[in-house]
Amino acid sequence: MTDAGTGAPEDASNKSLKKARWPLIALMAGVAVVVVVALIAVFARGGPVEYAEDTPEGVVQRYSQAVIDGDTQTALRYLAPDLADDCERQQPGTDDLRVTLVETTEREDSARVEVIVATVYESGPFGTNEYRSEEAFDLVRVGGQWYVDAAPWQLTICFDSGL
Amino acid sequence: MMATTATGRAQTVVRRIIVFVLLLTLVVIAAIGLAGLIERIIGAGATLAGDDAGLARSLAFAVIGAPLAGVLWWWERRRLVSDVSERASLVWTLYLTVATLTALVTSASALAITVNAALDGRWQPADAAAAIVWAGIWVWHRHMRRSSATAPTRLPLLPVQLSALYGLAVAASGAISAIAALVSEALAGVAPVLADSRTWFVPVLQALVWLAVGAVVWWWHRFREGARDERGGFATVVLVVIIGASAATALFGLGTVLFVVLRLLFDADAAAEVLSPLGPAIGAALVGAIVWDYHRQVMAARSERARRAARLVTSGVALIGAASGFGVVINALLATLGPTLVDSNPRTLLLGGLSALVVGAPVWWIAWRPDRAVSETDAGDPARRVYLIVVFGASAIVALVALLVIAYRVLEVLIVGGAGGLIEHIRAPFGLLCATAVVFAYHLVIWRRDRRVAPTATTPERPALARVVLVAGGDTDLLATRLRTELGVPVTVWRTTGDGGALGDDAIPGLLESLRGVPARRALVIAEAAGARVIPLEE
Repeated sequence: MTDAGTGAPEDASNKSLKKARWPLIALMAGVAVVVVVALIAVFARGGPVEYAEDTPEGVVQRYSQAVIDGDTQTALRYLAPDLADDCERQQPGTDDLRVTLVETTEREDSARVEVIVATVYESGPFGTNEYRSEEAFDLVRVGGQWYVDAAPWQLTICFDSGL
Repeated sequence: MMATTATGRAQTVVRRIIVFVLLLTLVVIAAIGLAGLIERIIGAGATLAGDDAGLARSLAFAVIGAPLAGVLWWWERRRLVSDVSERASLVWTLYLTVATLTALVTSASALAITVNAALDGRWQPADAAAAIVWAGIWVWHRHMRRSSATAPTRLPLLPVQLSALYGLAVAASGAISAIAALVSEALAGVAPVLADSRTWFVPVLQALVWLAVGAVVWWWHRFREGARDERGGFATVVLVVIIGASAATALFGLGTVLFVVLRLLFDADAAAEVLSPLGPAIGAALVGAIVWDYHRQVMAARSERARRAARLVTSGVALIGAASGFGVVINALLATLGPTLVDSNPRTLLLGGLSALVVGAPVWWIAWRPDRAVSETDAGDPARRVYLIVVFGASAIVALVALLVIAYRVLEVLIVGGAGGLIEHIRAPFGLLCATAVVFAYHLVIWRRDRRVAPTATTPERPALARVVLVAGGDTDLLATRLRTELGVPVTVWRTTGDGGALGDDAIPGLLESLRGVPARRALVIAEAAGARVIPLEE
């Protein structure tokens, strides 16, 4: 066997090795790009978009945040006045909640805000253990301002009244 | 004549199954009865009101179960002693395995529960009685397994291997719990304990009891009963399973530790909540790593094929971790896009995914070595092919489920409306689908390259002998056992009706030599007094 004879297969195998590597490099680059974009998106974001206070979504957002924070006094301000006056308070749960807007139906003096309420029980390296359910807030307009009239059970602060 | 033999054999098998199921049932009944009686004796002082119905049941179980079990065993023992094929039966080995493991698991756990209750200041006579009775049954079955008159000749170390595995699992989980309890106590400064019904060291001691029980069981079976020296196929499978499971435990623990550290640095949640999984995670990482490393060293002395299988299993475990992590990262990215009213912090999700990816990816790289040139032997390795097929199969199943969920939600939006919730519903399955796609694409490239490098690898030049069919007359067991042990392959025996005489001992080395050189996976051996003929068989 000559030198040329041993050299040629080596070159060929090097070439095929290099050729074989590019899919791995491309996929790794893709994974790296996604990770970097996710890092930027998650860390650069201040928090959820804030909806205006005079919209049904804005009221639901402020009410839900107040309930989750345990700030019942603030939450009561967003309840329909007759309900807030008769409220027999109950302690909301301490699970992590995430509320996502699905759609809003707005009528003359009432509105319905459909949401997905996700209760996060625990987090780990393989994601979160959570339960999602589709729920709805009913709102009424009193004196030009929207108030929560009925809320999902996860975000209830009053006994009996459904709030 | 042939039909009569076949019927006779079927009868024997059914008879064995019924006898051993009956024996096992009687042993369990007798054990329950005896344990009930012993509990009454050792727990007599603590009984406030007598339970006469319970006493009647225990007495009935003991009086009926124990003598009948004894008689049945006496009858079966005579068969085992007189008939060698009875001892070579798989049913006998399976009975011993099930009975030994049941006795071991019940007595070891009852012992640990009794000691743990005592540490807590309670005396539990029921568990103590169960520990005593089942320990006796274990000793009895150990004697059956080891006595030269009744010892099984097929897979004799199966109960020992599985007992050692059980001991290792108990010891490892005990060690993990002990470390978890210790770490939780050490973190009391950050996560203050407001009230506790037990002194802090009691859970640690209780976990140490499990560790001690498991360690003794493992040590006894591995070093005293000979599980360590077993080199057969089943022992190797057990070793590969242990390596896979311990790698998964260690990597999951390490991933969780990293997750906790990242959350402490970048997350705003309360430290006590963030630190809660730290104890079990440190325990899993440490104990998993120790078990993994020990068995890696054991594996180093095994065949190249076994080592390759262990490396592939490690690679698979790490790949699952890395791919799931990547899926969770995409999930977190999508969580930032939806119209969220109140957040549960996608940072936590992202940090979890990153932890799994950062721990899984390097281990996968080291185990799989994607940068290495693939030789023809590697590319044609059946284990590697099986690994790739498993990866494809698993990817297909995950992708199918993810696609179904995504399609359902998309169609729901198209038909019912409510597009706002679409991202929230599909982000988890979409993340998994992307991760699966990456895994599938990479392994498809590898598969196609392997096929190019070793196109004929599925039919190696000289296949290794995998099975021998022995046709012989007279006492064939000795020859069959010799072929089995020397060649390490299963031997099926077909007895001849005519008397061609048994093969002489001096002809066996020559037969073994010609079988080692046989160019086929299966070979037929016709052994007679005149000599042995080896016929290679087609697939």
